[in-house]
Amino acid sequence: MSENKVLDGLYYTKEHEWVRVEGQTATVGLTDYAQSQLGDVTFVELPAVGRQVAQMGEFCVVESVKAASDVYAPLSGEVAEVNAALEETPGLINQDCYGAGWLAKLTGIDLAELDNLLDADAYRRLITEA
Amino acid sequence: MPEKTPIYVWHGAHGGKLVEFAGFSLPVMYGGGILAEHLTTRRHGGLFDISHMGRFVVGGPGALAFLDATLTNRASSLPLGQAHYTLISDPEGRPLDDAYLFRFWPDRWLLVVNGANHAKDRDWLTSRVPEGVELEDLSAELAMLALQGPASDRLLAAVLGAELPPAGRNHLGIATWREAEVLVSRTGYSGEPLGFELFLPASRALEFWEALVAEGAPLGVVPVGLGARDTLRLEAGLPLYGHELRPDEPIMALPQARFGVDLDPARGDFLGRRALMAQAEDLKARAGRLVPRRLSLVAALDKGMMREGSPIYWEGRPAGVLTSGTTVPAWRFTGGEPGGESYTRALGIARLDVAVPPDAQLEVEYRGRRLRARPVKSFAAPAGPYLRPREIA
Repeated sequence: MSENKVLDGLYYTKEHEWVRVEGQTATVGLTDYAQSQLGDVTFVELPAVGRQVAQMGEFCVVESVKAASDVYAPLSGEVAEVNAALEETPGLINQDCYGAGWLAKLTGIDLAELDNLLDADAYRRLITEA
Repeated sequence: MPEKTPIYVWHGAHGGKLVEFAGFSLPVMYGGGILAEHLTTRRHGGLFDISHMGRFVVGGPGALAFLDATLTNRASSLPLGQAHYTLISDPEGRPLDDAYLFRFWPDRWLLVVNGANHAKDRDWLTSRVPEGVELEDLSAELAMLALQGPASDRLLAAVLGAELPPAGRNHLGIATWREAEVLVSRTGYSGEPLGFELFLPASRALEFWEALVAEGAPLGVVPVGLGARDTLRLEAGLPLYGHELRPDEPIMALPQARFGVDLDPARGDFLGRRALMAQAEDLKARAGRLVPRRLSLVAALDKGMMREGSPIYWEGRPAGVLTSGTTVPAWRFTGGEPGGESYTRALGIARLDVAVPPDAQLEVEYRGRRLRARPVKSFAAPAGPYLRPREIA
Protein backbone atom coordinates (compact mmCIF):
# COMPACT_ATOMS: atom_id res chain seq x y z
CA MET A 1 0.00 0.00 0.00
CA SER A 2 2.66 2.48 1.13
CA GLU A 3 3.76 3.95 -2.19
CA ASN A 4 3.83 7.43 -0.71
CA LYS A 5 6.43 9.74 -2.14
CA VAL A 6 9.05 11.20 0.19
CA LEU A 7 11.51 13.69 -1.33
CA ASP A 8 15.17 13.76 -0.34
CA GLY A 9 16.46 17.13 0.79
CA LEU A 10 13.28 18.17 2.60
CA TYR A 11 12.65 18.02 6.33
CA TYR A 12 9.51 16.47 7.82
CA THR A 13 7.41 16.58 10.96
CA LYS A 14 5.84 13.58 12.65
CA GLU A 15 2.50 15.23 11.83
CA HIS A 16 3.23 14.85 8.09
CA GLU A 17 4.21 18.36 7.06
CA TRP A 18 7.26 18.97 4.88
CA VAL A 19 9.54 22.01 4.78
CA ARG A 20 11.97 23.11 2.07
CA VAL A 21 14.58 25.63 3.16
CA GLU A 22 16.05 27.97 0.54
CA GLY A 23 18.21 30.69 2.04
CA GLN A 24 16.18 32.34 4.79
CA THR A 25 12.81 31.20 3.42
CA ALA A 26 11.01 27.97 4.27
CA THR A 27 8.24 26.59 2.07
CA VAL A 28 5.74 24.37 3.89
CA GLY A 29 3.30 21.75 2.66
CA LEU A 30 1.65 18.43 3.42
CA THR A 31 3.32 15.13 2.56
CA ASP A 32 2.05 12.61 0.06
CA TYR A 33 1.22 10.33 2.99
CA ALA A 34 -0.85 13.10 4.59
CA GLN A 35 -2.82 13.90 1.45
CA SER A 36 -3.53 10.23 0.77
CA GLN A 37 -4.81 9.80 4.34
CA LEU A 38 -6.96 12.93 4.13
CA GLY A 39 -8.53 12.11 0.81
CA ASP A 40 -9.85 14.92 -1.36
CA VAL A 41 -9.03 18.26 0.19
CA THR A 42 -12.04 20.51 -0.31
CA PHE A 43 -11.12 23.67 1.60
CA VAL A 44 -7.99 25.20 3.11
CA GLU A 45 -8.07 27.86 5.77
CA LEU A 46 -4.77 29.62 5.15
CA PRO A 47 -2.99 31.69 7.80
CA ALA A 48 -2.86 35.48 7.55
CA VAL A 49 0.27 36.90 5.96
CA GLY A 50 2.39 38.51 8.65
CA ARG A 51 1.30 36.10 11.35
CA GLN A 52 4.03 34.79 13.68
CA VAL A 53 3.98 31.05 14.14
CA ALA A 54 5.84 28.85 16.58
CA GLN A 55 7.43 25.56 15.66
CA MET A 56 4.76 22.86 15.84
CA GLY A 57 2.07 25.46 16.47
CA GLU A 58 -1.22 25.08 14.57
CA PHE A 59 -1.14 27.42 11.63
CA CYS A 60 -3.74 26.33 9.13
CA VAL A 61 -6.60 23.89 8.63
CA VAL A 62 -7.27 21.58 5.72
CA GLU A 63 -10.75 20.21 5.26
CA SER A 64 -11.68 17.04 3.43
CA VAL A 65 -15.20 15.76 2.80
CA LYS A 66 -15.03 13.77 6.02
CA ALA A 67 -12.89 15.75 8.48
CA ALA A 68 -10.88 18.81 9.40
CA SER A 69 -7.16 18.48 10.11
CA ASP A 70 -4.85 20.97 11.74
CA VAL A 71 -1.57 21.71 10.02
CA TYR A 72 1.46 22.44 12.22
CA ALA A 73 4.29 24.80 11.38
CA PRO A 74 7.52 22.82 10.95
CA LEU A 75 9.56 25.90 11.91
CA SER A 76 8.96 29.12 13.81
CA GLY A 77 8.76 32.25 11.68
CA GLU A 78 6.56 34.80 10.02
CA VAL A 79 4.07 33.89 7.32
CA ALA A 80 5.47 35.74 4.30
CA GLU A 81 3.26 34.32 1.58
CA VAL A 82 0.39 31.86 1.22
CA ASN A 83 -0.59 29.76 -1.78
CA ALA A 84 -3.66 31.70 -2.93
CA ALA A 85 -4.29 29.12 -5.68
CA LEU A 86 -5.58 26.76 -2.98
CA GLU A 87 -8.58 29.01 -2.39
CA GLU A 88 -9.91 28.14 -5.84
CA THR A 89 -8.32 24.72 -6.22
CA PRO A 90 -7.70 23.02 -2.87
CA GLY A 91 -7.27 19.73 -4.77
CA LEU A 92 -3.77 20.91 -5.74
CA ILE A 93 -2.73 19.40 -2.40
CA ASN A 94 -3.85 16.00 -3.67
CA GLN A 95 -2.49 16.45 -7.17
CA ASP A 96 0.94 17.91 -6.39
CA CYS A 97 1.59 18.12 -2.67
CA TYR A 98 5.32 18.90 -2.97
CA GLY A 99 4.85 21.40 -5.81
CA ALA A 100 1.78 23.42 -6.76
CA GLY A 101 0.02 22.30 -3.56
CA TRP A 102 2.40 24.09 -1.15
CA LEU A 103 0.69 25.92 1.71
CA ALA A 104 2.81 28.84 2.90
CA LYS A 105 6.27 30.41 3.01
CA LEU A 106 7.90 31.41 6.27
CA THR A 107 10.67 33.95 6.80
CA GLY A 108 12.63 34.88 9.90
CA ILE A 109 13.34 31.21 10.52
CA ASP A 110 15.92 29.67 12.84
CA LEU A 111 17.83 26.89 11.07
CA ALA A 112 18.77 25.35 14.41
CA GLU A 113 15.12 24.23 14.68
CA LEU A 114 15.70 21.83 11.77
CA ASP A 115 17.34 19.54 14.34
CA ASN A 116 13.86 18.89 15.77
CA LEU A 117 12.60 17.56 12.42
CA LEU A 118 13.03 14.30 10.52
CA ASP A 119 15.11 13.91 7.41
CA ALA A 120 13.73 11.99 4.42
CA ASP A 121 15.04 8.60 5.59
CA ALA A 122 13.69 9.01 9.11
CA TYR A 123 10.31 10.13 7.72
CA ARG A 124 10.19 7.13 5.35
CA ARG A 125 10.71 4.88 8.36
CA LEU A 126 7.95 6.68 10.25
CA ILE A 127 5.32 6.15 7.56
CA THR A 128 6.28 2.58 6.71
CA GLU A 129 5.99 1.64 10.37
CA ALA A 130 2.66 3.46 10.69
CA MET B 1 -15.10 -7.91 14.72
CA PRO B 2 -17.35 -6.14 12.24
CA GLU B 3 -19.60 -8.27 10.06
CA LYS B 4 -18.84 -8.83 6.40
CA THR B 5 -21.13 -8.39 3.43
CA PRO B 6 -20.98 -10.90 0.55
CA ILE B 7 -18.87 -8.34 -1.37
CA TYR B 8 -16.33 -7.80 1.44
CA VAL B 9 -13.41 -9.61 -0.17
CA TRP B 10 -13.93 -7.81 -3.47
CA HIS B 11 -13.80 -4.39 -1.79
CA GLY B 12 -10.45 -5.17 -0.17
CA ALA B 13 -8.99 -6.53 -3.39
CA HIS B 14 -10.06 -3.46 -5.40
CA GLY B 15 -8.66 -0.59 -3.38
CA GLY B 16 -11.62 -0.15 -1.05
CA LYS B 17 -10.62 1.78 2.07
CA LEU B 18 -12.56 -0.23 4.64
CA VAL B 19 -14.15 1.30 7.72
CA GLU B 20 -16.66 0.02 10.24
CA PHE B 21 -20.18 1.27 9.64
CA ALA B 22 -23.37 -0.03 11.25
CA GLY B 23 -21.41 -3.04 12.49
CA PHE B 24 -20.14 -3.91 9.01
CA SER B 25 -16.80 -3.52 7.33
CA LEU B 26 -17.53 -1.39 4.26
CA PRO B 27 -15.52 0.81 1.89
CA VAL B 28 -15.66 4.54 2.60
CA MET B 29 -14.18 4.98 -0.88
CA TYR B 30 -12.04 3.25 -3.49
CA GLY B 31 -8.89 4.61 -5.12
CA GLY B 32 -10.47 7.52 -6.96
CA GLY B 33 -11.71 9.36 -3.89
CA ILE B 34 -15.07 10.61 -2.65
CA LEU B 35 -15.40 13.61 -4.99
CA ALA B 36 -14.66 11.55 -8.10
CA GLU B 37 -17.09 8.80 -7.06
CA HIS B 38 -19.82 11.38 -6.48
CA LEU B 39 -19.25 13.07 -9.84
CA THR B 40 -19.03 9.75 -11.71
CA THR B 41 -22.34 8.63 -10.21
CA ARG B 42 -23.97 11.83 -11.46
CA ARG B 43 -22.45 11.57 -14.95
CA HIS B 44 -22.56 7.81 -15.57
CA GLY B 45 -23.50 5.73 -12.55
CA GLY B 46 -22.39 4.20 -9.29
CA LEU B 47 -22.64 0.73 -7.78
CA PHE B 48 -23.09 0.44 -4.01
CA ASP B 49 -22.85 -2.48 -1.60
CA ILE B 50 -25.62 -1.79 0.92
CA SER B 51 -26.03 -5.21 2.49
CA HIS B 52 -25.55 -3.58 5.90
CA MET B 53 -29.19 -2.47 5.71
CA GLY B 54 -31.74 -4.51 7.67
CA ARG B 55 -34.24 -6.55 5.66
CA PHE B 56 -37.43 -8.05 7.09
CA VAL B 57 -40.16 -9.94 5.30
CA VAL B 58 -43.61 -9.72 6.85
CA GLY B 59 -46.24 -12.30 5.91
CA GLY B 60 -49.19 -14.25 7.24
CA PRO B 61 -52.92 -13.46 7.26
CA GLY B 62 -52.52 -10.53 9.64
CA ALA B 63 -49.52 -8.96 7.89
CA LEU B 64 -51.24 -6.00 6.30
CA ALA B 65 -53.16 -5.04 9.44
CA PHE B 66 -49.93 -5.29 11.43
CA LEU B 67 -48.02 -3.03 9.02
CA ASP B 68 -50.89 -0.52 8.95
CA ALA B 69 -50.87 -0.40 12.74
CA THR B 70 -47.07 -0.19 13.12
CA LEU B 71 -45.80 2.06 10.30
CA THR B 72 -46.59 5.73 9.70
CA ASN B 73 -47.36 5.26 6.02
CA ARG B 74 -50.39 3.21 5.07
CA ALA B 75 -49.25 -0.18 3.81
CA SER B 76 -52.76 -1.01 2.60
CA SER B 77 -52.54 1.89 0.12
CA LEU B 78 -49.41 0.41 -1.49
CA PRO B 79 -50.22 -1.32 -4.80
CA LEU B 80 -48.59 -4.56 -5.80
CA GLY B 81 -45.34 -3.81 -7.65
CA GLN B 82 -44.62 -0.56 -5.83
CA ALA B 83 -42.65 0.71 -2.84
CA HIS B 84 -42.99 3.68 -0.50
CA TYR B 85 -41.14 5.62 2.17
CA THR B 86 -42.32 5.19 5.73
CA LEU B 87 -41.24 5.84 9.28
CA ILE B 88 -41.49 3.79 12.42
CA SER B 89 -42.86 6.03 15.16
CA ASP B 90 -42.87 5.55 18.89
CA PRO B 91 -46.08 6.45 20.77
CA GLU B 92 -44.79 10.03 21.22
CA GLY B 93 -44.29 10.64 17.50
CA ARG B 94 -40.54 10.32 17.61
CA PRO B 95 -38.72 8.24 15.04
CA LEU B 96 -37.54 4.78 15.88
CA ASP B 97 -36.30 4.64 12.29
CA ASP B 98 -37.13 5.52 8.72
CA ALA B 99 -37.62 2.72 6.26
CA TYR B 100 -38.82 1.63 2.84
CA LEU B 101 -41.66 -0.82 2.31
CA PHE B 102 -41.65 -2.91 -0.88
CA ARG B 103 -44.56 -4.95 -2.22
CA PHE B 104 -42.94 -7.44 -4.59
CA TRP B 105 -45.55 -10.10 -3.79
CA PRO B 106 -49.31 -9.97 -3.20
CA ASP B 107 -49.25 -11.19 0.39
CA ARG B 108 -45.76 -10.49 1.73
CA TRP B 109 -43.99 -7.18 2.31
CA LEU B 110 -40.27 -6.42 2.41
CA LEU B 111 -39.30 -3.75 4.94
CA VAL B 112 -35.78 -2.27 4.64
CA VAL B 113 -34.44 -0.39 7.65
CA ASN B 114 -31.20 1.38 8.50
CA GLY B 115 -28.26 -0.86 9.29
CA ALA B 116 -27.49 1.04 12.48
CA ASN B 117 -31.05 0.39 13.75
CA HIS B 118 -31.38 -3.19 12.57
CA ALA B 119 -31.33 -4.93 15.97
CA LYS B 120 -33.42 -2.21 17.65
CA ASP B 121 -36.06 -2.39 14.91
CA ARG B 122 -36.15 -6.18 14.98
CA ASP B 123 -36.79 -6.16 18.73
CA TRP B 124 -39.41 -3.44 18.40
CA LEU B 125 -41.27 -5.15 15.57
CA THR B 126 -40.96 -8.65 17.01
CA SER B 127 -42.40 -7.54 20.33
CA ARG B 128 -45.49 -6.21 18.51
CA VAL B 129 -46.08 -9.08 16.11
CA PRO B 130 -49.51 -10.60 16.84
CA GLU B 131 -50.83 -14.08 16.10
CA GLY B 132 -51.11 -14.70 12.39
CA VAL B 133 -48.12 -12.56 11.40
CA GLU B 134 -44.68 -13.87 10.55
CA LEU B 135 -41.70 -11.57 10.66
CA GLU B 136 -38.55 -13.00 9.14
CA ASP B 137 -35.15 -11.33 9.28
CA LEU B 138 -33.62 -12.05 5.87
CA SER B 139 -30.71 -9.62 6.21
CA ALA B 140 -28.08 -12.35 6.01
CA GLU B 141 -29.70 -14.43 3.25
CA LEU B 142 -30.78 -11.62 0.95
CA ALA B 143 -28.01 -9.30 -0.26
CA MET B 144 -28.78 -5.69 -1.20
CA LEU B 145 -27.02 -3.59 -3.83
CA ALA B 146 -27.80 -0.22 -5.36
CA LEU B 147 -27.11 0.93 -8.90
CA GLN B 148 -27.72 4.65 -9.39
CA GLY B 149 -27.22 7.11 -12.20
CA PRO B 150 -27.98 7.90 -15.85
CA ALA B 151 -26.50 4.67 -17.25
CA SER B 152 -28.17 2.40 -14.70
CA ASP B 153 -31.15 1.47 -16.91
CA ARG B 154 -28.98 0.44 -19.81
CA LEU B 155 -26.53 -1.44 -17.62
CA LEU B 156 -29.12 -3.35 -15.65
CA ALA B 157 -31.13 -4.27 -18.74
CA ALA B 158 -27.95 -5.58 -20.38
CA VAL B 159 -26.87 -7.64 -17.37
CA LEU B 160 -30.30 -9.07 -16.62
CA GLY B 161 -31.17 -9.57 -20.27
CA ALA B 162 -34.73 -8.84 -19.24
CA GLU B 163 -37.26 -6.07 -19.11
CA LEU B 164 -36.96 -3.64 -16.24
CA PRO B 165 -39.84 -2.52 -14.02
CA PRO B 166 -42.00 0.19 -15.64
CA ALA B 167 -40.34 3.62 -15.72
CA GLY B 168 -41.05 5.84 -12.75
CA ARG B 169 -39.89 5.97 -9.19
CA ASN B 170 -40.81 3.21 -6.75
CA HIS B 171 -41.78 0.64 -9.37
CA LEU B 172 -40.79 -2.97 -8.74
CA GLY B 173 -40.19 -6.12 -10.74
CA ILE B 174 -38.77 -9.60 -10.31
CA ALA B 175 -36.12 -10.87 -12.70
CA THR B 176 -34.11 -14.05 -13.05
CA TRP B 177 -30.35 -13.91 -13.48
CA ARG B 178 -28.47 -17.19 -14.03
CA GLU B 179 -31.31 -18.96 -12.24
CA ALA B 180 -31.19 -16.62 -9.25
CA GLU B 181 -34.19 -14.47 -8.41
CA VAL B 182 -33.35 -10.76 -8.42
CA LEU B 183 -35.81 -8.30 -6.88
CA VAL B 184 -35.53 -5.04 -8.82
CA SER B 185 -36.74 -1.73 -7.41
CA ARG B 186 -36.62 1.74 -8.94
CA THR B 187 -35.57 3.35 -5.68
CA GLY B 188 -32.40 4.76 -4.22
CA TYR B 189 -30.68 7.20 -1.90
CA SER B 190 -28.81 9.36 -4.40
CA GLY B 191 -31.58 11.53 -5.83
CA GLU B 192 -30.79 10.21 -9.31
CA PRO B 193 -33.78 10.18 -11.67
CA LEU B 194 -32.68 6.69 -12.77
CA GLY B 195 -31.57 4.15 -10.23
CA PHE B 196 -32.24 0.76 -8.71
CA GLU B 197 -32.00 -1.14 -5.50
CA LEU B 198 -31.49 -4.85 -6.02
CA PHE B 199 -32.02 -7.85 -3.77
CA LEU B 200 -30.77 -11.34 -4.47
CA PRO B 201 -29.57 -14.42 -2.59
CA ALA B 202 -26.38 -13.59 -0.70
CA SER B 203 -24.71 -16.67 -2.18
CA ARG B 204 -24.99 -15.15 -5.68
CA ALA B 205 -24.33 -11.51 -4.79
CA LEU B 206 -20.60 -11.37 -5.49
CA GLU B 207 -21.02 -12.94 -8.92
CA PHE B 208 -23.78 -10.46 -9.76
CA TRP B 209 -21.71 -7.53 -8.45
CA GLU B 210 -18.79 -8.58 -10.63
CA ALA B 211 -21.06 -8.79 -13.68
CA LEU B 212 -22.35 -5.26 -12.98
CA VAL B 213 -18.79 -3.98 -12.52
CA ALA B 214 -17.55 -5.65 -15.72
CA GLU B 215 -20.43 -4.57 -17.94
CA GLY B 216 -20.61 -1.19 -16.20
CA ALA B 217 -16.98 -0.25 -16.81
CA PRO B 218 -17.42 0.57 -20.54
CA LEU B 219 -20.41 2.75 -19.59
CA GLY B 220 -18.33 4.62 -17.02
CA VAL B 221 -20.12 3.10 -14.01
CA VAL B 222 -17.86 2.63 -10.97
CA PRO B 223 -18.17 1.12 -7.49
CA VAL B 224 -18.87 3.83 -4.90
CA GLY B 225 -18.18 3.87 -1.17
CA LEU B 226 -19.99 5.26 1.85
CA GLY B 227 -18.32 8.67 1.58
CA ALA B 228 -19.94 9.54 -1.73
CA ARG B 229 -23.14 7.75 -0.72
CA ASP B 230 -23.38 10.39 2.01
CA THR B 231 -22.58 13.40 -0.21
CA LEU B 232 -25.01 12.14 -2.87
CA ARG B 233 -27.86 11.84 -0.37
CA LEU B 234 -26.99 15.24 1.08
CA GLU B 235 -27.08 16.90 -2.35
CA ALA B 236 -30.44 15.18 -2.90
CA GLY B 237 -31.68 16.59 0.45
CA LEU B 238 -32.40 13.15 1.88
CA PRO B 239 -32.35 12.50 5.65
CA LEU B 240 -30.03 10.16 7.49
CA TYR B 241 -31.02 8.56 10.76
CA GLY B 242 -28.80 9.73 13.61
CA HIS B 243 -28.48 13.14 11.95
CA GLU B 244 -31.76 14.51 10.60
CA LEU B 245 -33.78 11.89 12.43
CA ARG B 246 -33.14 11.43 16.11
CA PRO B 247 -35.02 9.49 18.76
CA ASP B 248 -35.63 12.70 20.74
CA GLU B 249 -36.93 14.89 17.91
CA PRO B 250 -40.46 15.03 16.43
CA ILE B 251 -41.08 13.17 13.18
CA MET B 252 -43.10 16.00 11.64
CA ALA B 253 -40.01 18.25 11.69
CA LEU B 254 -38.86 16.24 8.67
CA PRO B 255 -40.07 17.53 5.27
CA GLN B 256 -40.20 13.94 3.98
CA ALA B 257 -42.90 13.22 6.57
CA ARG B 258 -45.24 14.55 3.87
CA PHE B 259 -44.59 11.36 1.92
CA GLY B 260 -43.89 9.00 4.78
CA VAL B 261 -46.73 9.75 7.21
CA ASP B 262 -50.37 9.20 6.26
CA LEU B 263 -52.68 11.04 8.65
CA ASP B 264 -55.87 10.46 6.66
CA PRO B 265 -58.61 10.16 9.32
CA ALA B 266 -60.24 7.36 7.32
CA ARG B 267 -57.18 5.23 7.90
CA GLY B 268 -57.74 4.32 11.53
CA ASP B 269 -55.32 4.17 14.39
CA PHE B 270 -51.63 3.42 14.20
CA LEU B 271 -48.65 3.72 16.49
CA GLY B 272 -47.87 7.39 17.12
CA ARG B 273 -50.92 8.69 15.25
CA ARG B 274 -52.28 10.94 17.97
CA ALA B 275 -48.87 12.51 18.65
CA LEU B 276 -48.18 12.98 14.93
CA MET B 277 -51.56 14.69 14.42
CA ALA B 278 -50.74 17.08 17.26
CA GLN B 279 -47.28 17.76 15.77
CA ALA B 280 -48.80 18.46 12.35
CA GLU B 281 -51.21 20.99 13.83
CA ASP B 282 -48.48 22.60 15.91
CA LEU B 283 -46.32 22.96 12.81
CA LYS B 284 -49.15 24.35 10.68
CA ALA B 285 -49.79 27.05 13.29
CA ARG B 286 -46.04 27.67 13.75
CA ALA B 287 -46.83 27.34 17.46
CA GLY B 288 -43.37 25.96 18.20
CA ARG B 289 -44.57 23.93 21.16
CA LEU B 290 -44.27 20.39 19.81
CA VAL B 291 -42.18 21.19 16.72
CA PRO B 292 -40.00 24.17 17.63
CA ARG B 293 -37.58 23.48 14.79
CA ARG B 294 -37.98 21.86 11.44
CA LEU B 295 -35.44 20.51 9.01
CA SER B 296 -34.42 22.63 6.06
CA LEU B 297 -31.74 22.53 3.42
CA VAL B 298 -29.13 25.25 3.86
CA ALA B 299 -26.62 26.36 1.23
CA ALA B 300 -23.56 28.48 1.98
CA LEU B 301 -23.19 31.61 -0.13
CA ASP B 302 -19.51 32.06 0.78
CA LYS B 303 -16.61 29.74 0.12
CA GLY B 304 -15.78 27.70 3.18
CA MET B 305 -16.82 24.73 5.22
CA MET B 306 -19.70 23.86 7.48
CA ARG B 307 -20.38 20.62 9.26
CA GLU B 308 -22.81 18.80 11.51
CA GLY B 309 -23.08 20.72 14.78
CA SER B 310 -22.36 24.15 13.27
CA PRO B 311 -24.59 26.75 14.96
CA ILE B 312 -26.82 28.90 12.74
CA TYR B 313 -27.70 32.54 13.32
CA TRP B 314 -30.56 34.61 11.95
CA GLU B 315 -30.73 38.34 12.61
CA GLY B 316 -27.87 37.90 15.02
CA ARG B 317 -29.63 35.33 17.20
CA PRO B 318 -29.09 31.56 17.43
CA ALA B 319 -31.71 29.99 15.17
CA GLY B 320 -30.65 26.40 14.64
CA VAL B 321 -27.93 23.88 14.05
CA LEU B 322 -26.63 21.84 11.13
CA THR B 323 -27.52 18.15 11.29
CA SER B 324 -25.38 17.29 8.23
CA GLY B 325 -22.97 19.35 6.21
CA THR B 326 -19.87 19.13 4.09
CA THR B 327 -18.39 20.03 0.74
CA VAL B 328 -20.29 18.50 -2.16
CA PRO B 329 -19.07 18.47 -5.77
CA ALA B 330 -21.15 19.13 -8.87
CA TRP B 331 -20.67 19.28 -12.62
CA ARG B 332 -21.07 22.52 -14.51
CA PHE B 333 -23.71 21.72 -17.10
CA THR B 334 -23.34 22.79 -20.69
CA GLY B 335 -26.70 22.54 -22.38
CA GLY B 336 -28.48 19.52 -21.03
CA GLU B 337 -25.40 17.56 -20.02
CA PRO B 338 -22.58 17.66 -17.51
CA GLY B 339 -19.62 19.48 -19.07
CA GLY B 340 -15.95 18.91 -18.35
CA GLU B 341 -15.69 21.13 -15.30
CA SER B 342 -16.72 20.56 -11.73
CA TYR B 343 -16.91 22.76 -8.66
CA THR B 344 -17.78 22.29 -5.01
CA ARG B 345 -20.40 23.76 -2.71
CA ALA B 346 -20.80 23.78 1.05
CA LEU B 347 -24.24 22.23 1.61
CA GLY B 348 -26.06 21.19 4.72
CA ILE B 349 -29.30 20.21 6.36
CA ALA B 350 -30.29 22.14 9.46
CA ARG B 351 -32.78 22.17 12.27
CA LEU B 352 -34.13 25.74 12.00
CA ASP B 353 -36.53 27.56 14.29
CA VAL B 354 -40.00 27.51 12.73
CA ALA B 355 -39.98 31.33 12.84
CA VAL B 356 -37.13 31.51 10.29
CA PRO B 357 -38.70 32.56 6.97
CA PRO B 358 -37.87 30.72 3.74
CA ASP B 359 -35.86 33.67 2.35
CA ALA B 360 -33.88 34.32 5.56
CA GLN B 361 -30.28 35.45 5.42
CA LEU B 362 -28.44 33.07 7.71
CA GLU B 363 -24.95 32.76 9.08
CA VAL B 364 -23.36 29.38 9.80
CA GLU B 365 -20.48 29.30 12.23
CA TYR B 366 -17.64 26.85 11.79
CA ARG B 367 -14.30 26.99 13.59
CA GLY B 368 -14.73 30.63 14.52
CA ARG B 369 -15.73 31.82 11.06
CA ARG B 370 -19.21 32.72 9.87
CA LEU B 371 -20.40 31.91 6.37
CA ARG B 372 -23.38 33.59 4.80
CA ALA B 373 -26.01 31.01 3.96
CA ARG B 374 -29.66 30.65 3.12
CA PRO B 375 -32.43 28.07 3.25
CA VAL B 376 -33.23 26.48 -0.11
CA LYS B 377 -35.95 24.15 -1.33
CA SER B 378 -33.51 21.88 -3.17
CA PHE B 379 -29.84 21.76 -4.12
CA ALA B 380 -30.45 19.92 -7.39
CA ALA B 381 -33.30 18.93 -9.68
CA PRO B 382 -33.85 16.17 -12.22
CA ALA B 383 -33.07 17.19 -15.83
CA GLY B 384 -33.61 14.33 -18.26
CA PRO B 385 -31.51 11.40 -17.06
CA TYR B 386 -29.35 13.68 -14.87
CA LEU B 387 -29.61 15.30 -11.49
CA ARG B 388 -28.58 18.85 -12.22
CA PRO B 389 -27.29 21.27 -9.55
CA ARG B 390 -29.46 24.36 -9.03
CA GLU B 391 -27.90 27.78 -9.04
CA ILE B 392 -27.84 29.16 -5.52
CA ALA B 393 -27.38 32.91 -5.17
